[in-house]
Amino acid sequence: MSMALFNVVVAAAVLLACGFVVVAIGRSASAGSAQLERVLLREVLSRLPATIELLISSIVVSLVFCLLLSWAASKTGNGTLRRPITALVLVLQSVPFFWLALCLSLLAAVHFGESVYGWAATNGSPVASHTAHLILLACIAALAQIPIVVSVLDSAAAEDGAKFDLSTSLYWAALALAQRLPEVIAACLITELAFAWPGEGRLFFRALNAGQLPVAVSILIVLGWITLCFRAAVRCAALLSPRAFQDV
Amino acid sequence: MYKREIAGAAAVILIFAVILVSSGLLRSYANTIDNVHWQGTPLPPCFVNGGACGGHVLGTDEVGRDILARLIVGAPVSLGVSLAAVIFELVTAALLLWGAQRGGTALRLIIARCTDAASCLSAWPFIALVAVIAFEERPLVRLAVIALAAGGLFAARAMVITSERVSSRSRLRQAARDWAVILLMLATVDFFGFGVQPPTPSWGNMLVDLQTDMQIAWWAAIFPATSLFLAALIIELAGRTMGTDVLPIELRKRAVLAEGSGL
Repeated sequence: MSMALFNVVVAAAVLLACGFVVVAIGRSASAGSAQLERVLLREVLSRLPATIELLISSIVVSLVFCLLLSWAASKTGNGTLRRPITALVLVLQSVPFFWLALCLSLLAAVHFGESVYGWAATNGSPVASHTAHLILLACIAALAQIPIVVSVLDSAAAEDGAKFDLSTSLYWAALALAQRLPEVIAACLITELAFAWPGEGRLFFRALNAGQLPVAVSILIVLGWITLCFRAAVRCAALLSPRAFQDV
Repeated sequence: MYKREIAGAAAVILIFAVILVSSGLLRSYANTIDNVHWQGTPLPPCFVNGGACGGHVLGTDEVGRDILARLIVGAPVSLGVSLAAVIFELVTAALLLWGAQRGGTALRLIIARCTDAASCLSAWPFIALVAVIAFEERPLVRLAVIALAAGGLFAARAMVITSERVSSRSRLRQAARDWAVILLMLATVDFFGFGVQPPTPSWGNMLVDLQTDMQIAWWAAIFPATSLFLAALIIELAGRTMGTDVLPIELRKRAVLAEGSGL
């Protein structure tokens, strides 16, 4: 386990070093002043909780949905649900996520009024409104994770037979999400952009358009570190689990 | 022995040849504004209003350019760049594996940690950043930079399944899946304005005015997205015929064995 953690620390250091090199190379293309960059770098940290909030909520939503789907598939023993699930995975894998998110944001704006776009501007919105928005966005961001989780659960079910075990399924789903977390984060950033969620997505987009390379690079590095931490946590859990060694 | 793979490769080459010839013929027409029929509003597709379409089968965009012609001209850009990225990915992954196997412990560890770090980066933000850093006006050079960046990033991810126990058919299947993923990811970069720059059409940058199009000309928002969807679906289905999906199994084994990359 210590080796796994050491590897994670080294990878995090490599990521940071690469970030410094990229910023140094791209300095000539950077248009912003040093003072503005400092302010924006502080904003990176202040917006991080919103992104993590959305990320965790979407992971929870996708896990609940996929585990329910997996449970239902195991209950219909003759594989009745297998074809619809495969079709769902194929569709969600192939549809451009940015297009889907923007179409859903338009649909939400028609249904819920301007609040979907305007809520971020009204600071200190009520908790209920915040939670409602968070759940809506989490459901949309979860659409990108469903194919990842379902494919792993499908593979596990094929190997272990049709039996459904909640802890084992949860365990494999967490492993899959840990390995594919960059894709999950990318989907969350798109959702943030489409729905004006005040997270790193909007700041990243603004920083790139304004040529604020240090800000954009720092967002990428911070999100990379989150991935590394998540992977480290899942690996430690895997190493502590005797069942994991039995399966391999 | 490899009849299916040869037939698949021949089909891909044939499709690309047809698309390339068509796009070459339609290149100037795709950026031409129909001044005869266009009156300030997008012309609808012929199956919606045959009398008002002005001969544009899939209608026109908001400035009066034929959508079908732009889809055909944009096809080699979107499909070609993503295919080039996949080829670069496969070559890079093979070179990294070869280097790790032949280069001794130190090189193996350096490659492993670097691929670990690279595989943590989110794809479209990374490509968008590279496109901004290497700001390049010449379209071909810009496309090459984007393809190299995407290929390099996905090579790091491909290391997860690059090991002796994975069959070549399964690798082909993974390459097909990566092609579909990169196609959609590059469309995202184009959509946000960091990839292929207008007036060169790509399926991604044709959706730039998505929100406006959805309200006044739904066809301009639907057809490029449908092209992307169908292309990704066909590539994925073609990949499924090649072999079993090893990624979920390999992910499980590597995560349990606490291995970051496939080294």
